[in-house]
Amino acid sequence: MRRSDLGEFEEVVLLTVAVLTPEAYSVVIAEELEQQTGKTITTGAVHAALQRLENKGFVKSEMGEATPERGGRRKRIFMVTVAGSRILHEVREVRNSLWDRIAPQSLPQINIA
Amino acid sequence: MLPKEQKPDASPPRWPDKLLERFCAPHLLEEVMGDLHERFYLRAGKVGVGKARRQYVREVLSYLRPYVFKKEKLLYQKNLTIDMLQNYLKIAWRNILLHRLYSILNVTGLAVGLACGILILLWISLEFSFDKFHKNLPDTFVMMKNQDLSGTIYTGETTPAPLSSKLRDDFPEIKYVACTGGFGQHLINRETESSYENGMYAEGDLFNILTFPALMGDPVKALNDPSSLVITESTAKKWFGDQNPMGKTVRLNNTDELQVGAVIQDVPNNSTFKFDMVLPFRLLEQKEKLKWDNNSFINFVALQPETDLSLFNKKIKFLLTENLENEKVELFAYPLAKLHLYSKFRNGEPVGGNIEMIQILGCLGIFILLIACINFMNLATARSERRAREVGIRKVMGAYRRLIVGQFLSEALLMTFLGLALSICLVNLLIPFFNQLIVKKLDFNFTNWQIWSSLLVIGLITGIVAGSYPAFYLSGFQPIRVLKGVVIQGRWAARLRKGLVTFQFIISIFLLITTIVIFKQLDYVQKRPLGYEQENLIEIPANGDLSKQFAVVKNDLLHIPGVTSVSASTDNLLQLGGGFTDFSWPGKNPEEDFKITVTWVQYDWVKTAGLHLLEGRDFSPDYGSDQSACLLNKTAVQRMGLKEPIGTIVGENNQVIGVVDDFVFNNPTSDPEPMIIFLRTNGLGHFFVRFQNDAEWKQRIAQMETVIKKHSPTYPFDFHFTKEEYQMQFDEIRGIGNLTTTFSGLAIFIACLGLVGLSAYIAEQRRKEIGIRKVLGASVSQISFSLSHDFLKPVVWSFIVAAPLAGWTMQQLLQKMDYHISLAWWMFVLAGVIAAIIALLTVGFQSIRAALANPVDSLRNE
Repeated sequence: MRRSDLGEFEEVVLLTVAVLTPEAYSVVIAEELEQQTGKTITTGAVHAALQRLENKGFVKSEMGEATPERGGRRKRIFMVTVAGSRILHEVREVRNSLWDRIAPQSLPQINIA
Repeated sequence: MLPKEQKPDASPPRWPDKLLERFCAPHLLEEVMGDLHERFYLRAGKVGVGKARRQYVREVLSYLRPYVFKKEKLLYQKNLTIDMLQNYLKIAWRNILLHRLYSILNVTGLAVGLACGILILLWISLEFSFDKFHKNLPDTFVMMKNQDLSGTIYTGETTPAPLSSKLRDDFPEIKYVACTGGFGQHLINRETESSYENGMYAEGDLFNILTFPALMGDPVKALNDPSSLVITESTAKKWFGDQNPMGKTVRLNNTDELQVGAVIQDVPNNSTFKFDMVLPFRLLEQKEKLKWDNNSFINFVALQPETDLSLFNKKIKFLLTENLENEKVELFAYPLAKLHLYSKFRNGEPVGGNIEMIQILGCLGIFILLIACINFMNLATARSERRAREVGIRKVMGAYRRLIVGQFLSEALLMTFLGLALSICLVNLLIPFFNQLIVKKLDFNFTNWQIWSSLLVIGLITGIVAGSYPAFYLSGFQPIRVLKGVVIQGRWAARLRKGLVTFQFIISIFLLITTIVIFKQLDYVQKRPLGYEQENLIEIPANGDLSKQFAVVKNDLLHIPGVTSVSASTDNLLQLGGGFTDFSWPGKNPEEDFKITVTWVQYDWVKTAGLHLLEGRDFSPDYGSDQSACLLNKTAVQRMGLKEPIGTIVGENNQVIGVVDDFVFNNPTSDPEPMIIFLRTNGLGHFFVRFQNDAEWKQRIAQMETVIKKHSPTYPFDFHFTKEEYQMQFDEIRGIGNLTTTFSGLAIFIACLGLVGLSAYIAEQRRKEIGIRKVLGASVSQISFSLSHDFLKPVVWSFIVAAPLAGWTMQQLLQKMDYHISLAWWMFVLAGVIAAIIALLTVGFQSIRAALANPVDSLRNE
């Protein structure tokens, strides 16, 4: 069964793939996310999300070259597909329009550095 | 992004990797493992090896997700349907045609094995179907008794007649009870002809208990009327042809007029109790007073459903003892369903019966099938290199191992079903001979779906047993090796092959020894000194009028030239039924008791039968006191411990006037039993005539017929040579002997088929070697010896295993008989030599052919 909606974690992973293209694979994505969020992100979680994204058609993948730190094993490189790009844009638009419609005083003030 | 300071031991822990290799789908393993390792080194550089290792475990565990487990779908899986199967069958068929010799050997072996299996299956299913046609079988019982005689318990199904009314009146658990008796031949006179028919007397409720469907009339009503009888369909046809049999009158034993009251369907082949007609029991009751001590009846009982059998048996346990004087007899109800298969009792407990034969036969059948399967396995694996390339190519083209397993299994199944088809033809041809061999009536009913489905199951099982080992063996070839042309047959495979050949010969030699011992024993028993002159002795059954006129008949018979002596007895010398217990003699210890067989005879009995008098004299008309005198046999004298038997008073005031030497009666293999002989001058059912054996014996019998016919015109003349009757007792043993001969022959035959194949293969394999040997000067005999002696080894080994096994088994068998041979070494040696010679001849043919081949042919191409 293929769901066409995008989960939160999936969205983040998909964005990260876009950021890291053309060198986007599980390990660097996980590292990047760890840096950005400060939480521990396992490659397993990232791998699973990428697998789901691929099933939904938002990313495509191919095997890249092998490196010594991988014990001579190849890595799987991910790229955002057209469908992926479209859904990212859609999500962004929805968010933007929602942000635009927030009245100035309706959000409690917080300090952003 | 190489880590900066990588210590030599800075590697991820091993066990999570192993775990991952276990659970991760193969197509994901590379990237996943790579990711994990890369991340590990990254972490090790940042936070240290220890922490990285701990996190590594967490990382690995984070992959425990369903999608990681799931294996990639096989690429060509969908195509494994008709197309691939067609290809397999096509290749299998081509292989069969290409290697005709092997195919014929295989199919023949399997067919013979399967034919044996089918025949045995038919037999077993016949045995199991016995009495199953009775609708109320679970509630149907036969009354049986356990009689304690000097510590030995004798179990029998004969009970007294008054038991039936006692049971009917006093036990509410009983729905119906029927007493039957008078089993055997009865004379029936119709308007013009007369004949003996197999029948019995029975109470009407018999037909409420057992299921023998009526075609005309009501058998229950008919038997309640003392003047009507029940006959079977074929008896009706025999007596009255196409006329309506109902109401027709016949004369029974020249005394009673009976009307046909009902016609029932013929008694099925698989009924323990067989008869052509049933006579009213009340007729028997009218004639004589049936007492409690007359144990010659069988009582059938139908219990109310859901009666507790053990409770009921407890209630009736002493029913007989209550009505008898000082006899220890326990009564019990035994299920009719078990009577056929479990009819042997020891110490009052069922210990087997026909079921033993079934088990033995079942094992035999399985073993023979196994021998045939082994042939298939051996030939397939031995010749595997012929198929090795095919396996290699298939694998390279993308066949998975299980597809190749499937291919070879389907090939084995194809072979098996070819064999099965052939075996069905064989069985159809062989059934008449087989029936003669085992003295049974099997039939192969093609319309029976159960037979078809069991055949199918047998075929499938055989195919899978025969095909699975070669399939796994062949499919295990590594493509890279076999395509390079290196097929190294594992030593293990060769050894297994030899082991299997040995196994085949163990069975064959075992069966051979069994056959030899059985026939030797049969011969020994048949040549046993009988204690009387069996040659030139005729027994004439005498019923009714004839037995009353003995004196006149004897006189007339003695006038025939060549007739030397005439006498009569209640029994026919071979089967002596009656017996006493509780017999008394002087000096008897009250604890001691044995069954003494009794028979009543006419004057001249000793002379006519040709018995040997050890002491005293025969009965003689010169002594009026002989009416109460008796003869004893030697065993009786010994058991009673009489020092001076002549003149001793035994039993109820009977004086012993003579001692006859023991003679063989009832079971020809048991020790003589004690016997007492009384004089009786009328009503003896068997006349004996001793006559000279010369050219005119046939004429003499014709003269006897005239005499008998004169005195008893209504009876058909019937006579038996005692010797022939005696020989008939061996039919069963002979049947078993024939059976083991056949099976051992077949076992050897199938095993030899395998040997032919194997030796042909070996000779083919060593073609070049033989060529070179010949070029270098080896003689034909040397070469054929070097080829053959390899095959002699398994035979020798199997002899070493089979001989003690067979010896032990045969010893057990022989010890069950009193009169038996002792095992001799030559029996074993003979079996071994036969097996070795047959094996050598089989192999030798191939070896000599290989050795005779011109070396040029084998060495020309290199």
